[in-house]
Amino acid sequence: MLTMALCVAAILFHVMPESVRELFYFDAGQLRAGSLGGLVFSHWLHVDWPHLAWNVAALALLGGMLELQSRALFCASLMVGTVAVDVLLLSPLSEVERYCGLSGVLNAVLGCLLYVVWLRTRSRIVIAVAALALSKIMVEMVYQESLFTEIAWPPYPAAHLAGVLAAVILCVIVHWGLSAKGNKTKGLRIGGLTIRSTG
Amino acid sequence: MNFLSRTISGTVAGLIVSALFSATVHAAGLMTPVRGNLPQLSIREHHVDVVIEDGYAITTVEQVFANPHDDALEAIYSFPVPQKAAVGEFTYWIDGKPVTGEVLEKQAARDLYEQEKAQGRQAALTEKDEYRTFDISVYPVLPNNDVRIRLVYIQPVHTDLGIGRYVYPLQEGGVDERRMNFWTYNSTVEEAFSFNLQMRSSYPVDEFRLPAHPQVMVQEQSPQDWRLSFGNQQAKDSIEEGDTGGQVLASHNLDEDIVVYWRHAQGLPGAVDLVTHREEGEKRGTFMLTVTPGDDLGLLEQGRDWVFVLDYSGSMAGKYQTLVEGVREGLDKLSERDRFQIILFNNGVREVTSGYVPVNQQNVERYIRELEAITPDGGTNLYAGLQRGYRLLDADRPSAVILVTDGVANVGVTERKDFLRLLEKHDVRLFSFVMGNSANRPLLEGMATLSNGFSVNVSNNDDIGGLLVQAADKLKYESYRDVEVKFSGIKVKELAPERIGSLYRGQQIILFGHYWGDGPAKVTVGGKVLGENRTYTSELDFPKVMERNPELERLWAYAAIEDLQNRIDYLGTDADSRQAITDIALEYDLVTNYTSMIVVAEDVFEAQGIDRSNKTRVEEEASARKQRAAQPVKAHRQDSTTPAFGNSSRAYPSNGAGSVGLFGVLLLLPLLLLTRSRRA
Repeated sequence: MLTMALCVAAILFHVMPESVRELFYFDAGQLRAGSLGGLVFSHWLHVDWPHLAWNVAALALLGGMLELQSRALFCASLMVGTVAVDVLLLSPLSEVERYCGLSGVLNAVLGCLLYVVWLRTRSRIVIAVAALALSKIMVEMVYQESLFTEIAWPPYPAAHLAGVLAAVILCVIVHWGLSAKGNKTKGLRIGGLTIRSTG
Repeated sequence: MNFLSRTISGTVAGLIVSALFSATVHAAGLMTPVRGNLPQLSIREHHVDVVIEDGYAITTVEQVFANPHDDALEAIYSFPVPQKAAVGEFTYWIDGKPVTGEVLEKQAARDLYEQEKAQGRQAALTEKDEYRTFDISVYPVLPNNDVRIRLVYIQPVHTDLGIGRYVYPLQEGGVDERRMNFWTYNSTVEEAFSFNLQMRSSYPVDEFRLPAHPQVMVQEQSPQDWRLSFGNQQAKDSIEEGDTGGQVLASHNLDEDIVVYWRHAQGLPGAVDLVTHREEGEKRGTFMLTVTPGDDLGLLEQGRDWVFVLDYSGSMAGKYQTLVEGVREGLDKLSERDRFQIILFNNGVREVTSGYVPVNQQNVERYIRELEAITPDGGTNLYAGLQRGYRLLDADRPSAVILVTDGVANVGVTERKDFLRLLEKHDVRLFSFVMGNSANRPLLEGMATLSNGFSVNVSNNDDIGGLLVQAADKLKYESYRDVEVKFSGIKVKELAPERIGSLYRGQQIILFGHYWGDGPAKVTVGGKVLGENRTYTSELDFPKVMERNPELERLWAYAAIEDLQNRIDYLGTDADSRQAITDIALEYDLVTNYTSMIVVAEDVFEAQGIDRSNKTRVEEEASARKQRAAQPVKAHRQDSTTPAFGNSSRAYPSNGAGSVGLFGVLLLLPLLLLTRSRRA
């Protein structure tokens, strides 16, 4: 399963020597010097074990659920999440010189999962989870602190917001495809998942 | 969003810096008069060894000058003054034996050198030309022969936002036209060149970087012990046996500063470090206190007025258009709540904007077009530029003045005390970006300190982007003002610097002083943040005997001399301060504006009745260095048991990590249950 492989990859990244890991952080100075590896790999690096543990746990849960629904959508959410966080980090809005961690990307996966589960269940639980997730991001952005978590680097919750925005964009595109003529009744097939609107 | 506005204001000043560097380069080297028929000498070898340990750097430069001609010649080697460098050792090989120099008053040293030279005897002299250069004269370099000299200087080393920086300066800024018209420089090392740096840090280091010297070989012995080296082929051949040679180059020119950065490990705490030196039986000891505050300064949210005071004198010719591009980038990042004005100065002053203008695309494009149409020329009337900038300030809005210059004030008001008095009249912070090694750093740093701003020295080989981030970071945050350090429980006097002023996020306090007695004591560091008093306290332990760091005495002396020089610059020359500088320099054997270091044959020292105090001091320092090298890296932290800054880690460049955390994972459980129940 892809999710399992990615979890293992994140753990392997973490046990690599620091001198090697240093090459893969998102580092504005290194990027200016032409080293682009951080744009992809920084998301799979973590500063310490608690940081790794929570993110890998979330990846296992989120990836496990979304991959079961659609591997293609899972892959797409990882990609758009990565791009969205990178765009934020490279933009003048960015406040950080160095960045690592998967949570920005995971927020894109979460957004897509919520969308899929909502289409399938129309459960209020989905709305509640979405509201709580957004509230968490807002609280973290205001207080610049991670909720109930201590890691060596300060949190950068703006990356979470970037991930959510990426998910919204991706889901709008999917939904537009779903609403297009011809897909309304037969549904939109993404990977192994056929999405039908129940509304 | 908060982070939008927070980012904008701080970035502007730093962006300007990125625009500044493509200047005509003048290098360190052997000087020959332009007019006349003297043949050029050559630099055969140039070796630089740097050891950074216990909070200061010791730089040893060994050179061989060769004379391929048929007449005896005088070698005059000039190089830029390294920042806060105390030159304490100058050695000249006479008849194959190294002879250590002694410090005399400047004129007496020059007279003795000329006397020996006139009599055809070997002599060497190191003089300081204020903030500009150290000049080394050696006579004679015999026909088809060479001479060897060694110079050692020490500098305190600090970190800023967890990043340390060491510069071995070689480039001159090309701002001293008289000197450039008179001398030609030979900067080529014809045979062996090597640069070796050893870092023994009491705090773990993550990484080293030399932006302009990617060929450097970096070896990590441990996170606290690093070796760096590079050189040319000949240097490699000569040091191969010692296995310290880095990647090699075909040749080397002394025309580029060597800038070394290192980054401390993440998550280090705010800390108070104390390094002491006290000989057995001495009543008085010397100390260096380093305070690295915790990261507890808040972000600023307000919009601001920005006054750009930009140098467009002739020496800016090669870099002016790049400067304009930097201003454009800076203005593009201003908040729409901000206002700006641009003032240019050369012989006179030119207001590009008529007072403040609001930040919008139309204004930015308009004034950038006007800047682009201007051609730099003329002298540097810095005072007039600053005066105009300050006159136009609006007292009702928070303001900052950003001064960018590469030169020295040489038109109009040029006295430092007049500049300082101008700044005293206004409670507005000045941030000065000092380009190259030839700018009047004492003036620009003095102004920034007095205004509670800060000064950034920028080498052409610096990582401009990195400096940008550091500067921008500071301007985004609150700062400490009226910082004071007080001791209790032990007699502590003769602190240097006398005034600390302001402290910005990431900056350290480095304080030298003398102590009497021994045992436990307390230090209290206090300052005002937005008018509110904050204090931090740490236990200290002053030892009765500690003979590990004799160099501290010279570092204290240099800091004390800087204070005295500041007083002279501010209040005007007075005989007492000048004599005090001379006395300290003679006691601690330092090269200053008023003292020089002379080397003559041992029998001449004896015949002249010159005390060999520096020889003794140099031997003690060399012995201490040898002992330190044989010992493990020593920790100097005093507040390990009761951290002065609580659990707060020190400030770093803005790092960020994305963490889902416990709450995020718990949030997923309802979804898991929902999807499972649906599937069932």
